[in-house]
Amino acid sequence: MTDSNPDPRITRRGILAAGGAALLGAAGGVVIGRASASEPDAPTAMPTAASTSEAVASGEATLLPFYDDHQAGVETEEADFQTFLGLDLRNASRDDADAVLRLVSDDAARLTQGQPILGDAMPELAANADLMSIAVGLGHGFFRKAGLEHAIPAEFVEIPAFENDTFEDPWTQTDLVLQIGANDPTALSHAVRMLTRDLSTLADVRWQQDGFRAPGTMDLGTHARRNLMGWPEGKHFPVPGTQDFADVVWIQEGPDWLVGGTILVLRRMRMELDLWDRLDRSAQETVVGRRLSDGELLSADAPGDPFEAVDDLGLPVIPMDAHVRIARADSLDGVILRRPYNYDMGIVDGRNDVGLVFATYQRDPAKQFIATQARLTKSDAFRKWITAIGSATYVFPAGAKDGGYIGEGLFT
Amino acid sequence: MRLFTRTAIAVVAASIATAGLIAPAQAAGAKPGASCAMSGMVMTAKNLTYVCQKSTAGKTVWSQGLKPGKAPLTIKDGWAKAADTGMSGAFGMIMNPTTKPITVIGATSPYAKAIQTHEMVMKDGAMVMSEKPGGFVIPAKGSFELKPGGNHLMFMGITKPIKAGALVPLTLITKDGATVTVKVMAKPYVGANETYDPNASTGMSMG
Repeated sequence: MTDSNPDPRITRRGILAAGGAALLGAAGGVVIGRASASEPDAPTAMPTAASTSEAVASGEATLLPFYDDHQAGVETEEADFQTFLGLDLRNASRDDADAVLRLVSDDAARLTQGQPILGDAMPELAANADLMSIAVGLGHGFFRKAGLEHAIPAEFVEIPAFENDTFEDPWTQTDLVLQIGANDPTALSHAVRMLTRDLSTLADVRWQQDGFRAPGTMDLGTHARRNLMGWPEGKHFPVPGTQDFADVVWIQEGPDWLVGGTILVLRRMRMELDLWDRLDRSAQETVVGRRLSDGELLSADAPGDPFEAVDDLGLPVIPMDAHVRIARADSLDGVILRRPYNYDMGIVDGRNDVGLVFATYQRDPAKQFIATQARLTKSDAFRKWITAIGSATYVFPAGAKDGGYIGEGLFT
Repeated sequence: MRLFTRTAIAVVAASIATAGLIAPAQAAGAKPGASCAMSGMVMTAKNLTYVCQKSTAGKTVWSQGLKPGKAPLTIKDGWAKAADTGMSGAFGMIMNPTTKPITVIGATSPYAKAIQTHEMVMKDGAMVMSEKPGGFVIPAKGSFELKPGGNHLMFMGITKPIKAGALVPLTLITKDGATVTVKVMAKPYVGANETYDPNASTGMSMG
């Protein structure tokens, strides 16, 4: 059951899978200019979906460590399924807040290693922990209810609603979030149930956002991972294991509980698929500025800076309001890590309710997220087909020390 | 022989507690062999520990005064069932790293008036829990599992709410009087509601 590689964060499979982190299409995406893009090696001998399944069947599951500098599920290889649970503490109580973190950490330390939680009556369901990660994020409400308002990090700002956001009940800010990833949806379901059961006397689940993606790793040659508009997820992203990644994602100054943490901005993006269908394929590509076939820029084959490329009429190949142009960052300061998952609630009230559970990670959302989103809100052509129906922001504490628990430093 | 639900025994335990009959730290004398109110009570007097136990004859009597010492036991994966009142249970794997068997005859916790060593037995065609005479024998270089539906440490007369996530101190007492204190996490658990056979376990007449 254990991974032969001692550090799953920097396995080849991990690095390549992280390529799937970058969502090409939806709002909030940031694309580094080509010149500064960090790209993985050419995707040869890529593990396929089939090989992933075989790995599980043969017991060669990848276990992600729980006790680590960082919480798993951010720099680690992406799982095929991920659920976010938004919870509110029932009482304004320091002891309750502490107990929640102790319980979740104890459960996570076991479940992520394929072990049942204490008192699990169905331990068999915990056995396949392939790429299971369980991370905890804290909202401002958690700090307030725990009497720890003074400990809210300065860089942890609540993200404002942007002009086109139309938040719907219940997808808004909660006191805390649990992020649970796994390759086995049955093990994931079981983990969610065990965690919610353990917290049942302390916190109430306000929402559950289940996300999925095509199995296997990201490879622009096969496009295993596309969102529900058909876009292959982007290829420019901070690469796990690099200094760029650390500079984009991990908080590097502050108290011990925070250093090595990050800030999650979680937005629920509904895709207006019925409207999108009215555009023909080339119009869809113009809106985004990329080719649907392979995700490359429309001007990828032109010499020089693709954003300067013009057609026979002298017009930009990538329109001035194309999503990819608006979203790209001028420097690493504007880059974020994206790990989006598809959601599909089926037909609700006669219309498709599908989209993205759009998770982004950054150390400073004011600098990294808000500026980008403000640009997108103002002029991105894509915004007509993507609607933010939920948003919440959480600080992920650092990983737990051996035998300790996440956020322990807040209470000791 | 009647079976009693945990609610029924909880009421009895609570009434005994109210009457002041069970108090681990009470310094009143405990005569070895004299009857005591409820199995699982522990009393310390003049640096000796007395444990109220069920005898082989079926009576609950005080043990000999036991000299204190340090028990070389640990508990792996220990946990307790969260409960506000009444009764609860503690579970986990008691590990004995020594080359001799060690017998656990009782335990104390600030959360309980008394803690009994329980086992599950077949009675009238149903599994019921019952006090295990003589306690738990942890084999040399071995372990002894406490689990819902099996052997467990039964908290009688909870003194204050055991809240989920709390770390509950639990002190095991061996038959030689040696003790070891561990902390186990309290977890919400809707199971471990085994039917209780009070006549077999405490020897108390409950009508």
